[in-house]
Amino acid sequence: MGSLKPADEAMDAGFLATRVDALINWGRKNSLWPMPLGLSCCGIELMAMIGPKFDISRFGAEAARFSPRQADLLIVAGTLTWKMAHAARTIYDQMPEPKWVIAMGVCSSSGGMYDSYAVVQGVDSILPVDVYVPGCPPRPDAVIDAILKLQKRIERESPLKDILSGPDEVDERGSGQLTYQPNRAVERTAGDLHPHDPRASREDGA
Amino acid sequence: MDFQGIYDRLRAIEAPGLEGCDEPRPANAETKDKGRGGDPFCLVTPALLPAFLEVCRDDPHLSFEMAADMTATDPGKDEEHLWVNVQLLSVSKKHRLAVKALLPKASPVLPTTSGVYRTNQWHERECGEMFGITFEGHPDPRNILLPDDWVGAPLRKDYEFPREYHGISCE
Ligand code: SF4
Repeated sequence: MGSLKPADEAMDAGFLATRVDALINWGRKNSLWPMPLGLSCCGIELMAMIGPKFDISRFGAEAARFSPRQADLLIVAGTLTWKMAHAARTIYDQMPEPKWVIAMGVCSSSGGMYDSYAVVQGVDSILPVDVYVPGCPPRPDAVIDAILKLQKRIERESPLKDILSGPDEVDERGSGQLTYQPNRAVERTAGDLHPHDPRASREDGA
Repeated sequence: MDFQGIYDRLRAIEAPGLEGCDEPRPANAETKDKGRGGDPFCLVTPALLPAFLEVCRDDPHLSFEMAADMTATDPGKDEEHLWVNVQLLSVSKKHRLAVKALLPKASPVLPTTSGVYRTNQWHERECGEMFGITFEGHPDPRNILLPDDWVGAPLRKDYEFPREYHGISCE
């Protein structure tokens, strides 16, 4: 049997020829490990999505990690308040590259109905969002669709080029600025304070 | 006891700071006046609120063991006073009382009532951050819901949304 071409010979011996990019992308897109940031009602829908009925494991993304260091997909599911913003950004910063972000629901996409002093008007002011999912709450199928869209996007990435030429520009929105520390007194002069702030009248001696 | 009974008792024992009472007005169909619903309440001098609550708690005929709630209200931009509302509940006597104190917006200072009802510690912290009320003598006046470095009292009617927080635009 001397008519086999070299590539077929290699295949016969258990090899498969492909591009490195395609191999890496195939691995990445089929094993997105989500970090569920369930902040309010959308979190319940997220649980349904991971559970057996909607079964996100059909698309390889069922391994929800509660440690950001083991996750590569941050799903912000719910209303992000300013008090929580620093925590969300810290979680994102702790995730290893490559990482993606899904803003699930109108609350995390744009603040939604909470046009309020307490709510971040869209997590994209502190995180680089890849896919927005509309709905209040979005059905689990909608979020699965977002994951499929993200998979298509990952397919088109060229990781090898990124590795060889160094990482892209990192999105620095919010990083380093969210310096809020719980229970730490913040130094302020009387001029910084809102007139209603109790500390203002104390410093005035009133 | 109903409200009238409680009010008469408060008058009889000369509860400190009691200024008067207010009954809800019935609705009037002719004048389209919807009436002022809600509980009838006792009006109390702010500075004497702790002393008043102490009497309510300790009087054997009233025995309000519980402060069910304490909140504040900003009735409007043009109003000069904030309302501080306390809801008292007597579990043993099965009656309730709403207490209200009018606090001038210019100097919203109130002695703490947490020495009378310890639950009011948290309610006062919330009133403090949301309405900018200072509770004198409060053992732990930190913010309870807002971040510690938040500026302004969000539930005041003339509150303006912050333009930015920690360098991030809020618009
Ligand atoms: S989008 Fe709707 S369901 Fe989702 S967190 Fe906001 S309010 Fe809740």
